[in-house]
Amino acid sequence: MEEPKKITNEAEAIQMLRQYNDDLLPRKFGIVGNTWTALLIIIFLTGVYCYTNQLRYGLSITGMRDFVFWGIYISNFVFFVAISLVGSLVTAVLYLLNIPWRAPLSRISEVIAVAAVIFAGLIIIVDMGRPERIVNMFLHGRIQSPIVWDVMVVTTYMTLSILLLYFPLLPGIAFCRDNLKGIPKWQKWMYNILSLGWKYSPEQYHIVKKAITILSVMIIPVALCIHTVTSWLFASTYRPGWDSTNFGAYFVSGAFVVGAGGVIAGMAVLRKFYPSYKTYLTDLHFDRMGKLLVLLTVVYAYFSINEYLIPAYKMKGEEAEHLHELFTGYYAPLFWSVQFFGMVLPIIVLLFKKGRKPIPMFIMAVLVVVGAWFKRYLIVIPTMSYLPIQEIPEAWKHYAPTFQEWAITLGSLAGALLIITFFVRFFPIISVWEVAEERGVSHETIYKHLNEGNEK
Amino acid sequence: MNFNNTAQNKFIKSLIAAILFLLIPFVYGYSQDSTEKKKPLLSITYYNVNSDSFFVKVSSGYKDEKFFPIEYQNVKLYLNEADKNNFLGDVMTDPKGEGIIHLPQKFKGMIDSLSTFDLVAETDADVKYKAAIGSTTIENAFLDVQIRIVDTTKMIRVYVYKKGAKVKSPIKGVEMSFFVKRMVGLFPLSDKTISTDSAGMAEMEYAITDMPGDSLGAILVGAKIADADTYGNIFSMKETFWGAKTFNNYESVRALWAPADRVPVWLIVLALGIIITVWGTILFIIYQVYRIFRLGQQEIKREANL
Repeated sequence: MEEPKKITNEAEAIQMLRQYNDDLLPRKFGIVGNTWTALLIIIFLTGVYCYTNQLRYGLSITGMRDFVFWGIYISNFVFFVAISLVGSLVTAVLYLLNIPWRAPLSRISEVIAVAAVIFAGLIIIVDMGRPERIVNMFLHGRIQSPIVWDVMVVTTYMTLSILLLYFPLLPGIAFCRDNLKGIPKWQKWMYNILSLGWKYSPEQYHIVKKAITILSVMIIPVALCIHTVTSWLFASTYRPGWDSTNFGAYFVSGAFVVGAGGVIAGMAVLRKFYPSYKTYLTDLHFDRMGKLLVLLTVVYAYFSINEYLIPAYKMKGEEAEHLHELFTGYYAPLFWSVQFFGMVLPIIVLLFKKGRKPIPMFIMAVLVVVGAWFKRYLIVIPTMSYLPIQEIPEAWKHYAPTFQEWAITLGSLAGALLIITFFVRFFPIISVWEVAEERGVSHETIYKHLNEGNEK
Repeated sequence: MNFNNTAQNKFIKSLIAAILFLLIPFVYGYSQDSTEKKKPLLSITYYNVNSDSFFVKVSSGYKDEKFFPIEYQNVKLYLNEADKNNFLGDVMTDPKGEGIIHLPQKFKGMIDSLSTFDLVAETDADVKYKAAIGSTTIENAFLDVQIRIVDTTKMIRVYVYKKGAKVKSPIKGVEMSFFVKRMVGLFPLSDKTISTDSAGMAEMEYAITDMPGDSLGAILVGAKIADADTYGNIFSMKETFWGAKTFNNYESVRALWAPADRVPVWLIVLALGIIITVWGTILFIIYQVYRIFRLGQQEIKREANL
């Protein structure tokens, strides 16, 4: 597997850029794409309908009660926050490290990050029985509270992620504006507005490059903060399973794993349904992302062992009861499935070269992502069942999500996938100019070519 | 994706087969075994707290040489007889085979007026266990706690009466324990119990001098009948000011646990520093969006002038 050769002469560069444009401009969906979109819309609208019921009847339509007051909404929130970290990993970390195969993946990862962090913010509001009271948090919030920190950092990360998606996209939007023919008026209008009158000038290019560098530097600490602070929502309590000094690192490492899994799954799906993308999302990209995923999963396994082994060695009080439930009790089948399918099996498979081919990578990535969702379930729910209070009804300790709760949760997942789907439909999901730059084409040549398209 | 690659296809098929094989124990683990059905033994314990909160603990288990609790079993509880009009609620047992139900509001008045009543627990047959029924008869009693100071001695006195009787009917010979209520439990005033006399009265001296109370020294002292076959568990409490006054200055210092207007200064400086730096940079970046727009407009004007 060789890395793509650098382009050295201008004629070759122009020819390559023309090919890029033909391959990477967004196009109408076929029957599979339309069916997929319709399915997501139905699931999303079902979730919205159930949420209106929740607004009408309150949180009593959920399985949450006085004691287990964080259910799958919060598991889902932690999952969304986790997967959103991929934006900082691929877009920022790999960008600043100047990794030569990064460019085709950066926009995929950033749009996943934006979709996930938007729904992370929304699902927290969904978790509130009286969503309008979120205003009180801004008016009367205690700055000492990790919940206030979390709201601040989620908002900041969302803003940074949107900007980091938007800046590199500007030339792409302008190119869609100038080159997509036969599109509806509203679509043309959307490209006009979003392209900000982009004219491919070197000054505009310079601003974009500067903004991307600043954003890439800034998003890394904010990304680490978003998941660390989310872990502190749990770790700053005395509850068994949460009372851990390892939680920040454990959450962040887990987030990188699920984020990388999300990007690999996205890459495989795009390659399958857009055959021309095979030129850009090559076996080399899968191989490199596979190796990266192994590294991240091994680091995550290390923190996981720390998280469970040491408390299990001590087995003190409620912590012991919690661990017994996870290791051999009610949650054991789910716990061990998640560890094996979401962590051990991907490490084993991806260590082999054949395992780093697109199809096995896709299967492993799906296992990692699904495993990650259920891992968040295991972090949030079992702990809530252990109460430092005696003589309470057993039913209060148990939690089973209701149909409406599942529908809202699945609706939020469908909503995030809809954002990604619509993005792929209307915008170039692989950045032409960044891929060209990665191949050694100077930005003068790129902009000369793009401007030619504009003048056509 | 390349479906012509035979080696890759073989690898994928092996991978899927391995995953399915590994799933077998989990699926099998959930399947039911076919051993002989056991007969559950149900026991019922009644609790009455201050004639205000009534709850019942149900235990379920079976005997097979030794006693085994039955976890996650649904037990139906009835008042007096297993009839839908007398249905008190469902109880789900925990891993210890125990479950608790607080009695519904509509039954509180009814229970309060009865001199005796039965509590009936019932389970349906399932794949593992036979159907079972258990009951207990409770003689309704209430406790009247009084506090008094004789010379300088603090005394807690309790009278035990039958409930549902037209005239006050004291109960003799009931073993009483005395306690002080703390945040998560009851602090016993003595290891010994005191039996009620013919007037239904039992009395104990309160000799503690430094039991922490609130800022006024308020504590809850009380008496209880514990695990009596006839009466169940009955608790009654009364507030006194016999505790030591405790003061805390949590609200007057700047600390992480203090209210919003007592934020530590270092946290204000740190938080504001981060917010100003990060959002200042974000505003700078957003300004770059405006600069790009302005450059585009200038270019458009320049092209129009040419």
